[in-house]
Amino acid sequence: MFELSALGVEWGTFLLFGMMIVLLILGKPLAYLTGFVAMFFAIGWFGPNVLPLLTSRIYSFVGEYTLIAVPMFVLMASLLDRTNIAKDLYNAMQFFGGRIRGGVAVQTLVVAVFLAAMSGIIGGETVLLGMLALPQMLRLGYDKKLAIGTVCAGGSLGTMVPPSIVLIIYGLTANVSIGDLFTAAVIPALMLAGFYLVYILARCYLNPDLAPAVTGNELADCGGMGKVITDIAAPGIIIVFVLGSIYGGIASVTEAASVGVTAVLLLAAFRRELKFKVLQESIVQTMRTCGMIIWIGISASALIGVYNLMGGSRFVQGMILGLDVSPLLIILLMMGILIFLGMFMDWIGIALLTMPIFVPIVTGLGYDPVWFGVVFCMNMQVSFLSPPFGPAAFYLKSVAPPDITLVDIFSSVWPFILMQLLALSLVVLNPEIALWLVNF
Amino acid sequence: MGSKEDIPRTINGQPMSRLDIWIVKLGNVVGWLYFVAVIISVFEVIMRYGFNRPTAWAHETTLMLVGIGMLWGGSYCMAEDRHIRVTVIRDAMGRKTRRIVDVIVGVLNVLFCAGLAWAGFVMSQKALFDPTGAFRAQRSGSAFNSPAPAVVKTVLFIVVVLMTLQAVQQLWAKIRILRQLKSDQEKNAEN
Repeated sequence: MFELSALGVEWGTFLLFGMMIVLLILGKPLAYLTGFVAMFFAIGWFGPNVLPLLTSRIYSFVGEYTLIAVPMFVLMASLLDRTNIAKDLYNAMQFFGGRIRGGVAVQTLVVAVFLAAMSGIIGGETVLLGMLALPQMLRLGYDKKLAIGTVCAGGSLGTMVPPSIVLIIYGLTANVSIGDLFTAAVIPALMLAGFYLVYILARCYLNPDLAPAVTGNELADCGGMGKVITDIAAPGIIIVFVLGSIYGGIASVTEAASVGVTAVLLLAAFRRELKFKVLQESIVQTMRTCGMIIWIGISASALIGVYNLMGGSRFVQGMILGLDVSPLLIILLMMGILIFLGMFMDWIGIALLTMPIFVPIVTGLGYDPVWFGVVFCMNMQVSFLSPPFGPAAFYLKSVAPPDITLVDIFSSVWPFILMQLLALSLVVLNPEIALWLVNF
Repeated sequence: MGSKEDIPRTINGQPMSRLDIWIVKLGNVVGWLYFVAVIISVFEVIMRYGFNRPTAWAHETTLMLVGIGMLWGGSYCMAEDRHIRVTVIRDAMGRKTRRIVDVIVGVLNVLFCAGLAWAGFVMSQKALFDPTGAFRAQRSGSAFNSPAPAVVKTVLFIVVVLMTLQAVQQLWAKIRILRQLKSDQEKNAEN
């Protein structure tokens, strides 16, 4: 029709990027933006007859069995949000956390790891911690920046700790075993959480004003030893259900997610919190969250499909592999692109757009795609916290006390971003950190 | 309709159209498919490990149910105006530019959705009718051989048609806002 193909793939790529940026600036929703560009190029490059390609991409995308683990985990997180399981866990942890200096921040971090291991939803976790932990730390006179940073960084651990939906989507696009990805992410995630922990303890030790000592009666009532044990054991059981069935090879990731939902439902019923209203609200929440992320994914997968047909992937791969630089530099270049894109786009869009191009390069350079999956999700974690569009900040802002501004949040998270970058560079330089457990 | 507060609004405070309200209401029911899919998946795990009798139908059925839910979600989020967009720059524009930009984006949305609707029509037609035009639902071809492909493709078609209608409606609303602004300005000029 417009004979766009006469442009050649180089100029086609420029035009494609230019169009995306312009549309992004105009405020077109991401879910239609990439799809629109895909449609424009499908018609312009190949003619209107290839249009059904777009719907068949949509159809095959929603028909991916692994993908449907995502709604299940979203449902699980929505249910957790609406029961008091997380709140009780937080209070129970106080039993331990209240006793050391900076303990409440440490407690927040530990709860963050627990929540991350229960379900892989990132935004929900930041919101949950923002509602539970932030007011508590501020009330006890903790340093505002330390408290905010801990909540944001802890909340974003959900991108890495299995079962993370970022890893699921990566596994889907890169055709890598999700079980392997989950295994590979364990040590880097714990290492990162360890960095946070050391940082918090060290800062509180060096400057005790940051975290006033807490006397016993300032703490919320834990309700005695028995309640502490059950409140910690309950989420522990859910984690065993979910991760156990994946690592144990009993169930697929999708089934494990369903088992997780059922575990939460049973626990909620046992706690007499399972009401029709809770279920209906969780389902509405699932509908909303999935509608947003899945359609961004659908749209991005349509674009990469069309771009592939245009010969774009081969073009970019040829260009990157043709660079006369060391493989490590190429990996760094790709990470730079990921972080750049992370400033405007949702992680799922980035994964589906870039991974079909990047992963063959990574394997071509002799690196392990499982390792790159961990690198990818650490990258996404950085963009999750960093300005200008760091979603964690916006999630936290939506539940934080009104006097906490976005500027406060962004100026609090940078030490944590530095630690993420440190952990990221360690994993990039020593792939064994990720792969050791997989090959074990 | 009752008082002003009764009208459901999008997350940006715009009143929702009747179509949007209907899509959300139906979506709240469609969402239960996720729940059903969870039950089926767990049932399958129990049958497989507890009784060593894996089912032939669980896999395809869960896929179909969740697929329908995810597709409907697109329309659902459109009704509530929830789809993520980067508005930092758009918000910094002047009032008039912003409204013109909104109209342009609205036109592009209509084009995109209409294109999908046409593509979806071609696809669902193939899934529902054989080349002679007689009705036959496309089947999965597995041991269970369910008509899931035909069902999901039809739902996909319905959703993209709904999205087209929503896009047209939203475009119309944006044009009205733009015209409102113009007539206000003219009035101001006259005064």
